[in-house]
Amino acid sequence: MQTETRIPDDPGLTSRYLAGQLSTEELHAYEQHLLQNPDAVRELEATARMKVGLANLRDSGQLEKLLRAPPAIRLRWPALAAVAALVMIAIGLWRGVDAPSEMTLVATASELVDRSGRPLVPGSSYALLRTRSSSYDAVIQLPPEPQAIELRVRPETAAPAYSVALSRIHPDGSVLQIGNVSELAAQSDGFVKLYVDSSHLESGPYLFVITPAGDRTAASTTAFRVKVVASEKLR
Amino acid sequence: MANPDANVVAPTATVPPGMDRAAVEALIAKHYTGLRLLIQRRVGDAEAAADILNQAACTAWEKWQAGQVQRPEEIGGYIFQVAMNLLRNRRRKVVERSDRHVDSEVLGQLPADIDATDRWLEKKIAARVKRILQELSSARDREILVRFYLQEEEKEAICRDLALAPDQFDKVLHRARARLKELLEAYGLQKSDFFMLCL
Repeated sequence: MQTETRIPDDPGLTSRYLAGQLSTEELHAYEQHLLQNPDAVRELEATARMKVGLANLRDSGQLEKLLRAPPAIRLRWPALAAVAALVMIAIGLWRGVDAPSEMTLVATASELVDRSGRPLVPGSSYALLRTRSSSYDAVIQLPPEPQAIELRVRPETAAPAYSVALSRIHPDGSVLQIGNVSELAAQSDGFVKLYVDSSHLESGPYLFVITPAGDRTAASTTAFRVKVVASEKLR
Repeated sequence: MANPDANVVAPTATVPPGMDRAAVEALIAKHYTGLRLLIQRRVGDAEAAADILNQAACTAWEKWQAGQVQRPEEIGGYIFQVAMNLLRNRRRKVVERSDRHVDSEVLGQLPADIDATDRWLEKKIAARVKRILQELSSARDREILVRFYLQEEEKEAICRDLALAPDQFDKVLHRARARLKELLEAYGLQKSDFFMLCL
């Protein structure tokens, strides 16, 4: 049937189905397609989420700002060993990306709460130290349930206060900041302590950057390569 | 606790022979968060939306029991199909009632009466969609997504306004959909999650 053959090639069909915009013939063909193709059901659920997500952004007043905003910085990820490039990326991130509204990275664990408002369960603690190796400086394992993961970072430049940013590195090399926090002081052991909501992390590489407050030059910025892996339960 | 990251993928696994209606209802809650929240927004009434989904679960279960679902992986399609039919019927009735005439488009724009759990779920989904918008390289592409998915404008009208060829439009949608699925599936909970539900 002609309608059926074009179904897989029409990226807008799922949205039109959910919007009730299909003709009778299209509707019949699409619903047959839906019953026979589990992937189409998955596509439909993803499209429903796209619509719900956009509606939520509209209702919360974020959509207008997003439509006007310049795109996030997209930088190529040359190689994990390229420490010099990391520092340059880190500086670029500080200057180019809006802070996300969600509480992803915070100074104290009690700031991280679950959907019912209760503080997140304390999770594992990870120390970020520059290893100068070609692999990652730290590997964070995601817990099965949301937890407040403690990060202990040792900056390479002494300063009274620091700002920290965490960014996800996408497979295509683009980098997107997912959280930042400022006015952090180092503890007596030289480490700066902060917390991340594990539910905001995904498996994959991240870039963690710490910079002395008010001094965002390459010489003072320290970048760490962090790998996040799924919990044993999720594999 | 429902986790939107874990629930994106519809069941493609084998449904155990002993699956009961409660399991089908749980299936909706767990795997069709997007559908449930979308219906809730369209209806504007959490209870009415729950009725629609319960009925969809009931019908899907009856078809399963009657052997009308030829292959177990079809049950996800049945749930969507029944739920969307019920939603269409409800919207048609609202439009036809002259004494309480409400523009169905206006109804869809109203913030839904949703509870704290669903607000949390929506926020999590919105964060993923926000990331997609932030990653898009042009304001034009962001506008395409909003006009097509949210405002539900026709593809032809958007292409005309933005001087786009149809294949350019399709590419933008294709990239956005692929990225959304990637983000929603990032935790790797897919078919195995469905198995756990049915055990």
